[in-house]
Parts: sequence; C-alpha cells; structure tokens
Amino acid sequence: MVGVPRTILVVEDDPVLQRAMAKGLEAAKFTVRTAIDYETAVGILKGMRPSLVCVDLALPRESGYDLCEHIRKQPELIYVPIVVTSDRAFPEDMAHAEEAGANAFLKKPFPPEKLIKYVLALLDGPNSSRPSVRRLRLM
Amino acid sequence: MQTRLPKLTPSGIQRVTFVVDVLILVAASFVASSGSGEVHWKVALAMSATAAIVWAIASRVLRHYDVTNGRGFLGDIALTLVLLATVAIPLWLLRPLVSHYAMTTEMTRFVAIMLPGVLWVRLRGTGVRLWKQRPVEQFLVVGVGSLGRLTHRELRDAGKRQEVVGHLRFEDEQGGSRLQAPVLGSIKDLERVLRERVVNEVYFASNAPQHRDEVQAAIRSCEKFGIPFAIPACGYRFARAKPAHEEAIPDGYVHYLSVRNKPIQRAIKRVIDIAASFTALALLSPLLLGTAIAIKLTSRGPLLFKQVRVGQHGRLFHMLKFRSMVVNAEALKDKLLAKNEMNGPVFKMVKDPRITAVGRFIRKYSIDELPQLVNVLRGDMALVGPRPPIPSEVEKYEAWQRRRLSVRPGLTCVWQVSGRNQISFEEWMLLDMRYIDHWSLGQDLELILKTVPVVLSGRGAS
Repeated sequence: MVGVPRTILVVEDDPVLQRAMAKGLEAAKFTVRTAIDYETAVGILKGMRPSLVCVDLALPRESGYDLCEHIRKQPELIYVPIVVTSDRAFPEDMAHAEEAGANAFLKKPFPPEKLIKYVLALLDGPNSSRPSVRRLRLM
Repeated sequence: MQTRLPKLTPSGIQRVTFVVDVLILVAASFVASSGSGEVHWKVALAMSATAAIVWAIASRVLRHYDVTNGRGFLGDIALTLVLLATVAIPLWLLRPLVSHYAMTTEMTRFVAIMLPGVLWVRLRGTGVRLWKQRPVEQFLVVGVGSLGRLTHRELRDAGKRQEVVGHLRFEDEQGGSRLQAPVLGSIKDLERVLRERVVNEVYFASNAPQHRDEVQAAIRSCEKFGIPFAIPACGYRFARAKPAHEEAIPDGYVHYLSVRNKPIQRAIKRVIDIAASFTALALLSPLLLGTAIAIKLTSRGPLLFKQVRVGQHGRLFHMLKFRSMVVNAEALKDKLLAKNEMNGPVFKMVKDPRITAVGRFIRKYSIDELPQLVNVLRGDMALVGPRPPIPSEVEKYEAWQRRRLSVRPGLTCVWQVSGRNQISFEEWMLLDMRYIDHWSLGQDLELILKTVPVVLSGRGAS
C-alpha cells in the first residue's frame, strides 16, 4: 500500500464537521469519501473497500451502531477498522460501540489532529496488523 | 479488610510539606520578633524552637502528613487549624518566661504570618500533592466484559484518588485477560471480597437481562454490608438521546447509598468532633498528665495501649488507650476465654485478673479511653459511633453486622449509655445498626449528654 493513497470513508451528517474532518485527513495524505447517512454509506461500501471508516453514531435515519454492525457482517469488510464519533461517551456507550464492532471511540468535539492520530494508530500502529473486531483499541 | 496497617514513614512529598511548614513557623517567629528595624534574637530563637518542636510532635501524633488516614478534605483543614492552635497556645502561655517584651504584638504578628502561610501550603502548595497521593476511593467492578473494562478505564482516568481494586466476573463471563486489575472471583464471591478488602463502591458493569438475578442478589449483599453501589443508567443503545437531567448521572451510572446520606450534617458532625476533642484534650490535659505519671510509676511497660481496630470501610488503625492491664495481657486472654461473660465474638469479664490497680480506677471512670480523642483528631474515629471492633471480631461477623463498618466508629454509642455489659452481642449489634440507620446530629448530641453521667458515675463500666 506504500505510495498509494489510502481511502477513508467519513460518515457524518454535520456538514461543517464533515468538511473539517475531510480537510484534516486530506492534509494527512488520505483520500476521503464522505457520506451523510447510513444508506449513502452502505451504497458507497458496495463499490469499494476503504482502509478505515469513521462513523458518527447520531445519523439522520439509521444509527451509527447499525452501520457498524452492517460493516462487520460483510465478509470483505470485517477487518476494516472503525472509528466511532459521538457526543455521548459514557462507558456504556463505549461498550455498546465496541459490541457493535467499533475499534476506537472519539468523543465530540475533537480537534482534527486527534482524529488523524487515531486513524494513523489504527492503520500503522503496533497492533494494526493484528485484526481485532472485538475490542476498542483506542479512545 | 486491609491486611496491613498504613505505613507511617513519610514519603518525599510528606517530608517536603513538613519542612516547608516548619520554615514558615521559623520565618513567622523571626518576623514577629523583629521590631523597629532589629531582630530580638533571643525571642526569635525561643519562639521558633518552641514552635518547631511542638509542631513536630503534634503533627506526628495527629498523623498530619500521613496520606493513608481516614480524613476528608474538611477534616484535613480543620486538623491544620488544630495544629496551629497547638503551636500558638503554648507560645502564648510561655511568653512571660521567654522574654520581658510585651509579647502580645509579637504573637499577633506570628499568628498573622503562620496561619495563612501554613494554610496556603496545605491548600495550594505541596499539601495538594500530598492530598492527591491518597488512594482514597477504592472501587470494585463487577463484570469483565466491555463495559467492565471501559468502566475501569473511566474510573482510572477520572482522578488519581480513584483506584479499582479488582473485578468480579458474572457466571457466564469468560476472559478478563486484558483487564488492568485482577479478577478476584465470580459475583458469588462478592461477600467474601467485601469482607477481605476496603471497597468504597461497587460498580455493576452490566444491564444484561441474563445477569438480572445475579445483580439482584449482589445488590442485596451491598445493602447488607452498607456499601454504596452503582448501576448503569441506561442499558439501551442511544445514538442521540441524552438524559434530560444530565447532572443526575455524570458518569453514566446511577449511584446508590445504603446508609443515610446527610452530607451537611456529616460535615457539621466532623467539625464538632474536631473542635470538641481539641477542647477536651486541652481542658483535660492535667488529668491526662496525672494519669500518665500514675501509670508509669505503678507498672512497668508502655504508657499507651495501641490496639489494632477496624475503622470505617474496614480500614485498620491503632486505637489508643491508657494501658490498664499488665504488659502480656493479650497472651493471657486465651487462657481466660472460657470465662467470657459475653456471647458472640467479644471478650468481656467483670473481674479480669490482668487489670492493674491504676487500671481499675481509670477504667471505672473511662479515663483509659480519653487518648481516643487523639484518634478523633486523626480522623480514625468520631465522638459518637459504633465502637470500633478488633479484626478477629469482624472476621466472625455475619454479613448484616458488617454494616457497622459503614460509618466512622466512635467513642460512645447507644450501647455504652444503655446499661453497658448487660446486653447480648446480638442486641448490641442491633442497637448499633439502628443508630446507623436513623442517624442524626440531634441523636449524637443526646448520646454525648447521656454518656457524661454514665462515665462520671462509673456505672457498670468495664
């Protein structure tokens, strides 16, 4: 994958935040695809396999939890790391996210650098080659 | 229960705080004794030496720099004030001996510098670091799954004064290898763990329907032991919804207490305890001194009898008494067990041959218990509360009797004013439990007033 830009799918319904996240990720040499809800994201995922998916839990129709579970049910996507973002961050919420298949949990609001840090740790970090779909590795 | 007593050797930050405090006292003495551009060296030296020595002794006796004491923040500040008074009073009393100067101005200046100085060190300076070193809150997390692990991390990250002592697993749970605290057993071992360890709160990290019965049984244990517990607030997945009253569940858990929660009354009680003990110690100091001399003159051995007792939440501490028995009394106790006059795990007998002559007198008037006023100042005890049991008694406690340990133990309680030894162990426990469940400040004051005539008459005391 060296040299080839890696693609990140950002699922976020807030246009301002979506733009900020995309801008930050593009500055870090990632290709960014965006979706504003569950349905669009599922449509995009039919045609491609991103390196990582970033999911907002509060989406307009279906929730981010459903998207996580959908991704984990697709054999070809099962090891794609998922970063969940939410403004609810009780241990229970994190546990639910973990059970739905998330690998990292970002509490909103967060600076774009933090997102980049998490993405890089999941993609290139010491445990990145060991696929884990059961445990939140980062917070 | 804690297996060892808190260490008394001060660590680095404790030493630093102590040295800074003493330097403030010395500086205050020098500033106080300098007038019209010159320092009165004799006065300055006498003042600083007295202040430093009194401070060193008093702070050691009252465990001022001990991070593992049972004091809260308020108690700590109150103790600092008590220590300052302990330093200022002898200086003020000794002033005619020290110098021919009119010491009133000096004393005013001395207090005006040392009071804010020492308080500042405690509240803003190194004392804050001292405070942060305390592992005050110890939690037990039931559940080794995602929620258990994440709850642990949340608690750990929330503050240095919080510590997870371990996890318990639900019967159907496996794993726990990734946890950062040991798995102490299954949820069925909750009562055993609560007996063995100091636990300030139990977190139930599951809302799953299959754990319902286990959690229900465990909640009953917590209530029996009087240990606070927390239940996950929602149990459902919320993507967006937030509680309408977010301040009610700041960490996503609903917290419950099994003892009466009256924080303001508790704080007032603590302040009264400290003020009253200090005043009592000051007023009774001639009696204490006389007793000390009498004990030393009539019998070989140490002045005080330090016994390990079980304090609030099972924390061990040294309870102080004037020694009223011969030195090897504990060893002789085993031979006398057959003559025990109490049923249950407590040993009492009327004509105990181990008691010395002075001992008999000071016991009759409860003078032997007076050093416990120091325990009150230290934060181990309160004036009113269930008597602190010894560890071997606690091991024999039934589960519901453990709830006695949910409050700070005291010098006197319902049983002590009720006619003393003439009730059974079971009745005694029930009385203490009723005291805890219906605690109020008014009841405490009533018990103190009732204790005074019982003590003065020496009625039934032993």
